[in-house]
Amino acid sequence: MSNAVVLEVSGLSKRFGGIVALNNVSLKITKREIVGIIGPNGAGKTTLVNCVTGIYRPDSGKVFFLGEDITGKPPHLIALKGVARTWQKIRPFYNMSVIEAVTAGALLRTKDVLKAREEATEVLEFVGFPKSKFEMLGRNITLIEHKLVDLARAIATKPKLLFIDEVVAGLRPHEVDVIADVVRRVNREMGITLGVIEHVMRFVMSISDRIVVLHEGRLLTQGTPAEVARDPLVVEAYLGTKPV
Amino acid sequence: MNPRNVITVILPALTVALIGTTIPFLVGFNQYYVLLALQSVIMASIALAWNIIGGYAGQLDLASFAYVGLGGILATMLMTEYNVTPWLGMFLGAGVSAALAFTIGFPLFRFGIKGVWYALSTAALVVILHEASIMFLGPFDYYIPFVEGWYYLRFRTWENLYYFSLVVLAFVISLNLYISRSKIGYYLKAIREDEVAAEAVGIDVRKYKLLALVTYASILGFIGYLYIVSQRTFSYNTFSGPQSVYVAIVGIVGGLGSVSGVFSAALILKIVEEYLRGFLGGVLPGLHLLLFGSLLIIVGILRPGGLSSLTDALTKKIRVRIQRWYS
Repeated sequence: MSNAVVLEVSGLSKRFGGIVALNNVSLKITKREIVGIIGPNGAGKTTLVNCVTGIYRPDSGKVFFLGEDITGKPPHLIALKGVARTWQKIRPFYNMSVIEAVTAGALLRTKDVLKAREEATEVLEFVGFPKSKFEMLGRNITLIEHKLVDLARAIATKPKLLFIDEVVAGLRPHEVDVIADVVRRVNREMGITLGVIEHVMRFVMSISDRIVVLHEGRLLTQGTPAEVARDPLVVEAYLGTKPV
Repeated sequence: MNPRNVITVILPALTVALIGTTIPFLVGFNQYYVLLALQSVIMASIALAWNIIGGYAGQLDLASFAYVGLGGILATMLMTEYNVTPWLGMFLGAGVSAALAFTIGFPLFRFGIKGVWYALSTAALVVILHEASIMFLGPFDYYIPFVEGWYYLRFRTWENLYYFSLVVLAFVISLNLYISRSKIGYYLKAIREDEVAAEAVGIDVRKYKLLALVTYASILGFIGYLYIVSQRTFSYNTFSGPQSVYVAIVGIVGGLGSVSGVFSAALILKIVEEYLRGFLGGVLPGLHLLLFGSLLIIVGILRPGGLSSLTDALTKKIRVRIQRWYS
């Protein structure tokens, strides 16, 4: 594994009125890594991704992608540079068929619709979306299928760095295993660097190379899954202080 | 674009135009029916132009007759005042309407005005032009002095203008079909479904919305002259709010983004409206509007997906029947 830094975030802060959602967060993600980003509710995980992908403009701090300053750039330009994401709350294209939705993603790198459709088919097959449902409208598919389409749509833009925001939330245990397998293959076979935001510990601990813990907008600690799980600070953040 | 796509884009438009050319013969050159056909074709063209911004891009635009009026009145006045041929005037009208759309659309999309606020802003545009044109035109109806010939695109009978508007309709249909099969169409539909998600897959939402708006407005600016000639008159009332809403209704009842649905809705609604007015307008003035409105509500309840969902269901049924027949 090379140690090239894909993403560098330095001193990132974001306030919403009186609430400090991100407070001076700095972190690095290196090439081909799977970084789990965890933390209790309201820790600032999604805000971090929103600031990196241009949905929010950070109040202070810088975001560097492959050494280039992308702070405050509009989302579509950041996507063009190679940062993609999925959504915690699914954002489906209800009135487009599954294949059309993923094709819209693939069209970022080509003008040729037929070629984009072929690529979309490949990506959908890669994530294991049932082939019989390619032509179905977004409104007619199930939650796990939505999550797969969301993932496929992001992968179809051929990103170098992909943020996966709570992809297994609301899924059944065996479905979690299916997604975990897909996520691992995205990283290994496609070589995409991953930032995985997750609440489901079993999932995030099993797939991550490294875990970053956020708490109340601050970077609490980081390390391997085993280190983080033992860290008293992390236990405290999740469970509160030890009972007396 | 490969040759097969070219055929799928142009063939339906040509078919419609060819079937359309037979209508004057079928009605025995009865001028009332030819004029009705002309008005239907113009309405279908306007509604299909609306389909680009309203159907594909999903922006509820209520300003169609701002663009129709501006382009149309410009071309008409250039002809009556300066003897400029509408062949040039219509393109100028298209250009001016496109410029107006850009001026309105740029700040609207820059500041992320969408949904009902976009609808209200565009509705206001029609009202503004309506009021402003009273200042410039005065509270008068302008009748176009009679001139004749292809130079003026005006004729003693309606057939030639009807054939010309069929060409325009064919163009608008092909443009719609082309858009729906190209990158622009995929991007516009993605924007319609979810702007934030569209941005995140690299779509320049502002640019594509503006492109859709300007395309739509320039088509309407071009059609404006045909509309005015088919109405025989223009005035400040050409900037009509109700007509603009009517166009949006046709687009929605037809089914957002469905070319066949919007096309058939335009024809059916125009003809139903005309007959209701003919039969009931004299008995109880205004009753036809009540019935017309009720019809729209019924369609909305029974077929919220618009006419296109009906035609889709029908073609599916027929396909299943045929498959069963063969097995």
